[in-house]
Amino acid sequence: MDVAGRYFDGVRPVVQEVRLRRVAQGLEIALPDGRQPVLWLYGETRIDDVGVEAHLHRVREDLDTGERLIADGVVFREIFGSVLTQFGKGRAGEASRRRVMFWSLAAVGSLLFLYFVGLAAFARLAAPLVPWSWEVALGRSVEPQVLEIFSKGKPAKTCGTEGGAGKAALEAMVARLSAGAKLPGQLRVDILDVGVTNAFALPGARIYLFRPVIEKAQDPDEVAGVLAHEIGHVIHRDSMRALVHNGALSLIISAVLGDFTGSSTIAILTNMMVGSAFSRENESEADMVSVDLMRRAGADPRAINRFFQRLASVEPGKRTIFDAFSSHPITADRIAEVEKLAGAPASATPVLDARQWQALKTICAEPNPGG
Amino acid sequence: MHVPTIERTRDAAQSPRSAAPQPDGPRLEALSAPLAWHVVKGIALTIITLGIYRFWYRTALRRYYWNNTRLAGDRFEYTGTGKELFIGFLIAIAIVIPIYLIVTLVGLVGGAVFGPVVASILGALIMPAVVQVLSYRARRYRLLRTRYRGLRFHQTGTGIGYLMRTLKWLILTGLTLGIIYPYLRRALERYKIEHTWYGSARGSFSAPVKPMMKMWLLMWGLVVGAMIAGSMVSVAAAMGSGGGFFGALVGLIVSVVLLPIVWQAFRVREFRAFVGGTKIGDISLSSDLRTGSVIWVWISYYLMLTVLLVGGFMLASYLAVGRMGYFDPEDVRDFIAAGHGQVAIVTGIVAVGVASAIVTELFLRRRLWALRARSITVYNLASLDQVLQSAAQETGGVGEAFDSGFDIAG
Repeated sequence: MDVAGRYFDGVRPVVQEVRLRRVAQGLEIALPDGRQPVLWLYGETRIDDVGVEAHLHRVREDLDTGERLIADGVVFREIFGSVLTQFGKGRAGEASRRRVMFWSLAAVGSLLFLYFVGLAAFARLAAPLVPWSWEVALGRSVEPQVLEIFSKGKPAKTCGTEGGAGKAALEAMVARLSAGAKLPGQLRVDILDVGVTNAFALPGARIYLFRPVIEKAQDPDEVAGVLAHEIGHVIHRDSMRALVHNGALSLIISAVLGDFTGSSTIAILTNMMVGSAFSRENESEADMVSVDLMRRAGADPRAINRFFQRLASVEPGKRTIFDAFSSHPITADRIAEVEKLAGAPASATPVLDARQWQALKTICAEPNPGG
Repeated sequence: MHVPTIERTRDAAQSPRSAAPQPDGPRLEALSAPLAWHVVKGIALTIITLGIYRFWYRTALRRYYWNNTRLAGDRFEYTGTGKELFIGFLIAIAIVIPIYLIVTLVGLVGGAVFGPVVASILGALIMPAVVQVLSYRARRYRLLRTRYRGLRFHQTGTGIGYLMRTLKWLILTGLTLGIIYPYLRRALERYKIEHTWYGSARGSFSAPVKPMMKMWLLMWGLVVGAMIAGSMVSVAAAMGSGGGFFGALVGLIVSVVLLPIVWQAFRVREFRAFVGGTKIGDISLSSDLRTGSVIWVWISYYLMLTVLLVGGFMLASYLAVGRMGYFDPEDVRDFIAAGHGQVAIVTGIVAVGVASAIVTELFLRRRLWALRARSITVYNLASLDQVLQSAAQETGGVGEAFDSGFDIAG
């Protein structure tokens, strides 16, 4: 039994009307004009699809020969239905499983390297190259949103009045700490009238301490230690590092997920989850700056440890020692490290005198018409 | 360097072909096979696999469009596989992303040396340049995986050569404030077609710019006019004159309604000119694509999208606050503040995204493909018997995988 077919020989795009017949080893194609018939072995014969028409092509030595065969689908199934399992599978030149495995591992390795080493290194190198004016502008643009998040939707209030005693004390503290520090730009420090224990540095040398940091501190050096730590973030441009890091990460995530609809949403969400904290390394570096600045200012570099440890004992049962300091996770390692860096206890003079400290303590009680 | 006037005389010299009476040839056919299932399945699996299935989905779509395009009873064949695209993607992840980070860093360091202006220029230029090179490489991959009657297409030329030509014409276009943009389009199309082969038959290209130029000048005039009118309106508004509202309305109509229509009219003329100017070996083509039908496809597509978005918004708002189409800001704030509200919003965005992706494939891409394919007549098909499969072997190895990984142009 045979069936009429259209045959292309892979050399010229000209149809040849042929008869197709099943033989023991495969398909025999009887060419017109009495030429030698062509034999496709089953293993060489690949089925593209069998519908109304059956479309077949031939693969030899893993190369597509370009030969094509088209026959009536129903008759083809009648003739070859019982031997369909003997036909070859797949296309020519398809990647071997080994090659897929190799490149999968290489890709995963590359992603792991980027995630754990490459991106941080990239951020470290790239952040200082971003013009300072861009960072300042960026800080200005994100500041309102950040403040709103921390003050839970209410308008954010800062403590103290221009020219008031509290502000003067705060400025004195900033001046003593930043004397000789290599700052990228003008520091601006404020106390935020919000009841969580936290402190953060925004892009553009903008530092906020929250009211409880001052309330819970027992001496000015404890506040100064926290402030010096934030100045450390400013000096290292950690918020810009985090931004570069997260930006590059979200680019990579969207490259992996594809430009498919909705993937950018996923990328942004992932980014939010991943990028909420400075890296541990950045925190340690900021601690080092804190110790260094405190020692230069003649103050007690260990004060920040006393502050952290007291808070930990006041607020037990929290997973992180510091309640809202989730963006600055305090660990025993960090406390030990600061202890080591601080070296032998030396005599220290507090950064503020008693009168200034009193003024700073009451800064949030000052009448503040501006808000 | 090609100067536009020289190009034009060359057109005139080569134009007799189009003037000569052509014997009738077969049209390309676009079969209307069911596509919806491919799209729904492809998108669903892409989401489930966090994007990995997209290579197989894209391959399935190409196979659909290629296989359902027929010429003289024989279908075009797409022989690429999802696995090839996937391998290319893996290589891109393993090699290209780290290299790209380093290149960016070098650009930034260069910026630190030469100032932020240089850095931003580098940053703004590197990415489009890379995309331009890769899109040419991706075209090579697609042609290598395209067969008709068993014979393969392929592409010579280089991505860098294509990029250089693009740059040259971008500069010329910039210098003429965009007026010679159709020449840029033609120069790029010429590079592509003249490096396109079907077996031993090479592509040649000689399309006139004139039929596109009128529509382009209209487009250009509208944009410039809108810009001038816009500045006049803002001046009038600043002076407190009452014409502001009327001017703004005219501007809105021009930019939202007129510009897209003129743009599509331009693209249709361009398509006809480019198809008509293309020859593969001794086979020539012509297209009688009609502007009206293309614009109707776009309008009905946008209508469908609008219905989808409005419907989705109404449904979402109903589910969210129990009222149709009316929002109390307080309700919305409470809703967003609640955790499940954010989940619902993200789900809603994804759902609308998926729905519009389906609509785009079924009611925009497929329709445009069918219109374009059916508009094309092929002449002198008999000369196919002079074409042979070229000696070039089916290629393999990393180069090929690179092409497929950069198969970004869709």
